[in-house]
Amino acid sequence: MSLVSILLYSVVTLWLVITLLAQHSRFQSVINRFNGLHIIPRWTFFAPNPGVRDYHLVIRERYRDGRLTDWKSVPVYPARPKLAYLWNPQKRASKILTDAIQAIKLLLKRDDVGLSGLPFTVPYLLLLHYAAHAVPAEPDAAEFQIAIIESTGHLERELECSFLSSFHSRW
Amino acid sequence: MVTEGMADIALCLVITKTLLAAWALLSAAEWFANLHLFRSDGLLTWNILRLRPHLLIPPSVRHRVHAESAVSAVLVCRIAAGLLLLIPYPNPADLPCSLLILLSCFYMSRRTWFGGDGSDQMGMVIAAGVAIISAGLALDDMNLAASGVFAISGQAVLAYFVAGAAKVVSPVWRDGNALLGVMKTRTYGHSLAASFAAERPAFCKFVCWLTIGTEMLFPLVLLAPPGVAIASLCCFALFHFSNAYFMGLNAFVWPFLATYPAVMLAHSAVRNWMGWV
Repeated sequence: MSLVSILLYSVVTLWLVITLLAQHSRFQSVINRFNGLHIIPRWTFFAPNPGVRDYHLVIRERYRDGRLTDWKSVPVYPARPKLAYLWNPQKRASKILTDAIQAIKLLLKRDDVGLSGLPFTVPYLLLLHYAAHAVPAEPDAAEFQIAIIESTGHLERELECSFLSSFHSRW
Repeated sequence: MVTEGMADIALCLVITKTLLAAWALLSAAEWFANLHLFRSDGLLTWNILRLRPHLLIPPSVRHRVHAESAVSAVLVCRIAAGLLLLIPYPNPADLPCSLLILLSCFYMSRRTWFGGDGSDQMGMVIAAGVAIISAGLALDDMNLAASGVFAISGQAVLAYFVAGAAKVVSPVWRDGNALLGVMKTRTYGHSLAASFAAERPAFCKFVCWLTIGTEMLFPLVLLAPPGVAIASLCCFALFHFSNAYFMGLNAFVWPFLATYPAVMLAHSAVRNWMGWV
């Protein structure tokens, strides 16, 4: 066996061992520090807690005189196409929204972030920035606020507001 | 014997790289359809994502490297590499093309931060494995090529086993509610499947336990008689096709099927080692 082969077998074995360890929450924080290129995969698909909610982003604005607009839906992704088993680019935008919202939920639970620190985090700013640009501002609107709505069901939908942001300046 | 082994690995490479090419073309085309996400008003705007910590690129070139045009260039490279991988074996482009796809995986995972999924992870594994196998075949080094097979089959076994193990510790998977819950979403669900499952809790529990059981038992494929191993992999392929149909997980099919030739080679090696052949 050549030296290159021995080296590669060792590297691959190490990769598999670290991958196995990375699936356990106890080792994730340590491994994530060295996993900038995501070479250590996570194989816990839809487990232990599968996504059983759809996420939606809504926005409303506040005029200078204090009046509020109605909530408007922020368009993030269109419905899944009928041939999604072949072609489904929409899944990216919905996954980005889901990932950002999951990150926000985790940040809210952290003692060093919480509700007061959340507006300074990237997932929050990402959704805020996107919503502000995706929905044109009403004339005379001074501030806006976003909310995360969770839903389940196809025909009969159950809706729940799981997060409400503070008001932010429109300009 | 060595020549026979090399021929098996070469056949493995041909099937694996073809499926890798299919995934690379599909994933790049789907990202192209999402290029608006990378614009200044998009969900993946660099204006915001640049604020995250631990960026690897030097600040002086960071903006250019992460611009929408750079993303397009990387995706064009992935498409070109995918097309070149389709040239029949022996193909001197296999090694550089698989490395190019691997680099594009690293770039996209760093650039997007959010939105990646298991198909991207397995695509990266396959690209790395194909690069190692191609190098081994080009250098006529069977052990080198076999380490690529080891990498792909090892990650495949881990992927299925871990997916099952993570579900068995979850109460919603064990009581069958996970299936109905997921099917009731518009993102990963299916309206007909949801209405069917809603009235059949026993069926939901059966499907959940079938998923848990088969995923956790995947490592046994390496020990099974060849006919049983092939039949098992056909069932897992059907599982991925059904996930594509009911859940819209279309991109998972190609990289996961791409692991099967390596799994079959690992199966032969394990059975040889056990003296069962």
